[in-house]
Amino acid sequence: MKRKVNIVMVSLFMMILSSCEGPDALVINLVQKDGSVTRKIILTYNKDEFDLNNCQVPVDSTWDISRTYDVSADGDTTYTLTAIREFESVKDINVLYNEYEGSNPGLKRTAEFQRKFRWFNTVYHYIEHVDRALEGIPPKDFFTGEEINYFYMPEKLVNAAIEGPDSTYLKESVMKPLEEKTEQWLGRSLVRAFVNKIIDTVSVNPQIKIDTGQIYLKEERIAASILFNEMEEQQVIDSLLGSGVYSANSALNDTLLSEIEDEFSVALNTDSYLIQTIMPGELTATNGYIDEDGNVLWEVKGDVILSSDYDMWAESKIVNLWAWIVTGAFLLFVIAGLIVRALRR
Amino acid sequence: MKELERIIKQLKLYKPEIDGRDSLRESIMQNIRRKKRKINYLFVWTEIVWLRRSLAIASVAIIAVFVLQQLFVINRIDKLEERMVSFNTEKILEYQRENVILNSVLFEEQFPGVLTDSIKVASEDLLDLVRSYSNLQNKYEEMLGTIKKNRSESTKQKL
Repeated sequence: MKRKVNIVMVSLFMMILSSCEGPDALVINLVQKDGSVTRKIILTYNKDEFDLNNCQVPVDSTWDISRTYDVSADGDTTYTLTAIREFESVKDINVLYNEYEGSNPGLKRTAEFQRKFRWFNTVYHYIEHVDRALEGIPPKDFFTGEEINYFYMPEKLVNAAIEGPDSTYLKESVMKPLEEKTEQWLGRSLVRAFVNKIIDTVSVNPQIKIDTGQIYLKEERIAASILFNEMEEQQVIDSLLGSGVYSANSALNDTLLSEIEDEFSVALNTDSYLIQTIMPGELTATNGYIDEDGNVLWEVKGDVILSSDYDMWAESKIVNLWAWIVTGAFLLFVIAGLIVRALRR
Repeated sequence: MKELERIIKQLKLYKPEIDGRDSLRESIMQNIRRKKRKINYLFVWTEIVWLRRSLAIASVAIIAVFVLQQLFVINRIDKLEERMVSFNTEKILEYQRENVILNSVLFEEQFPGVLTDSIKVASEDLLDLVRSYSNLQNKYEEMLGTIKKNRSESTKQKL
């Protein structure tokens, strides 16, 4: 477990680095009423060298591609590649996600579109889903409401918020505690993932004699212990499952720890990117961040997909004018009939 | 209308004799009765108890559904205010361009710096530092601009 603990210590730094090496990506989904999606990917880089096979999201040379460059006031040049493609439905996007082999190969992503007829309105629902990397502690069970807000907030928005009013409060009272808590959460998520793996393995293999009765209580004690960072993997496993378990099941432990390492590396190596979605009609609900133009924004980054599925959803509605007219006419007809009858009497 | 008034005036003046006065009266009365019957046909359902009640209940249900649906939508839209941020696509792209420039500086200097210097700075802190420097520079330039403007205004006033 020592190696895992070290991973925790460097994870935040690594997550920052992993998102910095390649071009920055902004994915814009323009969702239409019929379920078709116009997808626009904007890549920004300091060189005019864009490797589309190694992009954060599926894109290739068959897309409608244009290139521009921008020279800042200080004379720095940045290059922008814009790729656009029309998708008849989200099924086509999912096909690309399934075939994807770019810089985020471990991410399991799907897109979903639903249209619900609600007589007066038609409701449209669009979801971009990313599977979690491991079975750790879901962020909503660990962070407070305000912390969750900044946990999921795209880095660019966090920076903008920090530069705005209440910056001292935000830095000292929200962001700093959040960073510390995020480190704790990462460590505890890894322990939880290991515990879940042990329980799953024991439940399907009765021949493995490990007592998992009090395992969650022990997990709490270990995660809360200040010694956690100093513990060797043998110590952690023996504390969780009883002394001697580590040596008795070393092959099993190695397998489970390697699995966790692989799963953790999916989150660790996530090449972050922004998703912006423009819904048809009037936006009515979302779990994203709404910008000044009414577009919804999310960021896919390592920590948000570590231990819980990430659903980036938005809902909008379009008024069915014909339904309002039909309903109005029907109500007038019934009310008029009742009035005529009353007058006749 | 004027034409009609003119005809009525003419009729009053010359008082013409109408042939078949009774049949004319009958035909006018029939027309009026037919109109009344049409209204009766349209609302004949009001005389059927179960239909009348069903349509009345349906109307109330539709109104209730409408009100509930609108309240639900308004409630959801109100909650959206919590998710609003003062940002837009142009600002995102501007940030991306800025990030790309900062990252290129960081990654070009990262490894030689680490190897030759014992002081290590987290990339996030370095980004903060560069951003703060850039902000300070902008504010300084703004200040200079304001001072120049004030000077020129005071010179104009003196003149």
